[in-house]
Amino acid sequence: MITYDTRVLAGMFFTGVVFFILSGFKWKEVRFAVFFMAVLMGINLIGIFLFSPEQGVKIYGTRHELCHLFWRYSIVTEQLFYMFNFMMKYLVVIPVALLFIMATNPSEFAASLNKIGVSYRVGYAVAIALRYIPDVQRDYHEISQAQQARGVDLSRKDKTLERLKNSAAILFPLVLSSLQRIEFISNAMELRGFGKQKKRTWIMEKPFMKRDYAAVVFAFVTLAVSVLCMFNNGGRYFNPFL
Amino acid sequence: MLTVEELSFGYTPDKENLSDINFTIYKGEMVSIVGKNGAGKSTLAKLLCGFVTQNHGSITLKGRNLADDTIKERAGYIGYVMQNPNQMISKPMIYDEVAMSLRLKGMTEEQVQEKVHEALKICGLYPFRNWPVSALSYGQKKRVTIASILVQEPEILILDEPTAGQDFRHYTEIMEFLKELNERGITVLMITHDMHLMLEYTERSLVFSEGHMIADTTPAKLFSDPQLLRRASLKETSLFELAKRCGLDSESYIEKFIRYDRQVRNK
Amino acid sequence: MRETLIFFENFTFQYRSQAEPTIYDINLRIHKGERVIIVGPSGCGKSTLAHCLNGLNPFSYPGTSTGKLTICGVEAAEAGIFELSQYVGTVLQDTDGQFIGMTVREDIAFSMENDCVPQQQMQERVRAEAKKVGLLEKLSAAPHELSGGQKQRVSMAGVLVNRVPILLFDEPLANLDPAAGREAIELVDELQKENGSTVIIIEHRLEDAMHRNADRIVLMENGRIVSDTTPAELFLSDQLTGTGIREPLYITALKYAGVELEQDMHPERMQELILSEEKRRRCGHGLKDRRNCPEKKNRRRCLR
Repeated sequence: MITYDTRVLAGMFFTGVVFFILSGFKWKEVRFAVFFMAVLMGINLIGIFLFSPEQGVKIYGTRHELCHLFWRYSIVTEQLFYMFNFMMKYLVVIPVALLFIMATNPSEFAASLNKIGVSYRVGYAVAIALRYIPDVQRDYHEISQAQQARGVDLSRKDKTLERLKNSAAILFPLVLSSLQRIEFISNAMELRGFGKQKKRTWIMEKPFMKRDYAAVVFAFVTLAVSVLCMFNNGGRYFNPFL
Repeated sequence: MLTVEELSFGYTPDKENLSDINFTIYKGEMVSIVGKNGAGKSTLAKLLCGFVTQNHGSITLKGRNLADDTIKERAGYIGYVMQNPNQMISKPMIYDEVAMSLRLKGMTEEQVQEKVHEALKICGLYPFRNWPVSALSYGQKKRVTIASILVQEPEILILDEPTAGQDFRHYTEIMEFLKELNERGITVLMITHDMHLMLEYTERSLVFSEGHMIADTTPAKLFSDPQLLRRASLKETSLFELAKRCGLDSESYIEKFIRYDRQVRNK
Repeated sequence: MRETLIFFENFTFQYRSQAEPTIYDINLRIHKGERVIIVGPSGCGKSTLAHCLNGLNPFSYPGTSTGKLTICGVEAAEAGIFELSQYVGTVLQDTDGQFIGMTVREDIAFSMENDCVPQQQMQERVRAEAKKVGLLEKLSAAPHELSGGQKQRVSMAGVLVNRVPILLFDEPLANLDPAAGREAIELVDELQKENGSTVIIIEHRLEDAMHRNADRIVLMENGRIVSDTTPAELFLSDQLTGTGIREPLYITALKYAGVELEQDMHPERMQELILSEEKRRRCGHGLKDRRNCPEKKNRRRCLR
């Protein structure tokens, strides 16, 4: 992802979208996450424009002003192009990242991490977190309902400061019950031998298959293409203005 | 006093967790809600308190439909005590914990103090009023949670498994305390599968199975009906078998035993 | 003479954070193949005793002990949790908290994974244990799709998969409804018969735990063992009511009726109880006369 070459980025985005469609996940499931990331992206872009409106000029070496806004702010094609590329980088990452999170079985993931040398404790920590997230969510839900019944109002009617204080009323018991849970779980794990040996085997471990090799090759090819383009362009940027 | 008519609810659109529930609770009753884990007991409590909204049917209190009340408003009539006190307690000091709901209502400190002390006295926690919650035993914490609900002066108290995990001595303490509350006029609904609790303290049991209410009867009758017990996932009490062995009518034997046992234990 | 697997000799344990010991002068022998129920009111020390058996005391909960505790010939104080877990398999009370894997299959395999058992072998043994507890079709189920009773069975399978000689159940009935509790006790009974394991059940719901017979009941109070006898002997005495543990209802009913209990009546379980004609008649009459009550004093004590 070192590249800012629009052509490469476009190709990667296109492939990402194709993969996502092939995966069969529905738009509805990711709608919220995408919306959230779009908002982040928007904020980022606005920030770039406000803080260095002439960044594009510096990168591409030419300046084609479309119109002047005020003070030091103008709409310049080079800047627009730069910001477009920035947006493309976000867009490239989104479908692939979503796919990764949604399609990966945490236990298989932990096993794979262990295979490449990451300590099994790290991998297992991730798997356990995922295992207990629904439980903690349920706790939170129950606690917040009980607190609501006592007048702790979390609706939008209240002022932000009040709502923050009220959130504490829910977080306090949640943290307590979570700490309780942690102690219990770690006892249970120890009693069943977790950490006994330096290594461990995994029942969910998946052996490397042909398509895994294909994926690795694909990743290398993409990287190679980016690097080649870099040499071709004399830098990370593809410059259409020359 | 509290009427539930044709109540139906499901967490997801394709499955109904509760179907067509009908019953009426009268003032001052002490009722047990029983059934297998997952039969819909907690769901019913949530519906009554307004934590979730029914798909169909109505809940009326003293003739007034509760559908438009918010959770907070309903809490003024129906108090809900969770099974795990640690999930309810949110303040480090007992006094603050019990006072929380009143302060949020905006009462003056004098009013708050009066009501909090009253509730603590009823719960037998007045000597501990300035203590932190961490100094209490599990049973005492349970009473703190009950006090913090009582302070809102609800007419109906719903308790989720009030005696879960307690030994006989503490179980008796809590149940006697609840009985006192009941005698003061508070209607008590208890979700439980503790058979002894049902037999000894409640005069009426609503039995749930797979989202349906399959019985509305006295505990003694319930324990004399093996088929019903099986559907409710309860066990026959050994009293039933003893009665059968001796050729006695199980229902009256069980009732006699309960009464006798109470007399003995209250001596 | 059966082999002694667990031997407490004048054993006392004190948590580091406490000023006084929690359990005192424990003298207890548990033999191979026995089923022992340990009962007592809250705070009597039964959980502490259990934690000494599986190593949580003193390795997770620091403390000092005096006296001796040997498990399968090994000194518990020197062994460590991992070594003790080869002899003692623990099933805890919170069915959710001890379900560690993402699915049934993974949870049963957990301890084997920690032992670096090869994947192929793990898969076979998981299937075998799942079949024994009746969960073969649920291998890919996630914990929230299972009932409390099912989760507990998964935990049992997860412990049994290691072929441990001693099974320790810490309040197994606490989170189960009565029917599920009954099934759990039946399963423990069957597994014990099949594997010849030694079973220790810590409970305060005595009548439910006695759904299947036990060899001994150990009664604890205030950190000491107050009684260590067969169930029949215990029910004949007044020890239970004295410590605030509920007797099985039928025993109380018989005592109220003034029926004299004897060992050869097999009072330990309702199903095995032998009642003569005369005694049966007394049951019918006994409850009417309040003055017949023999347990008055003890009841008062227990309610305080």
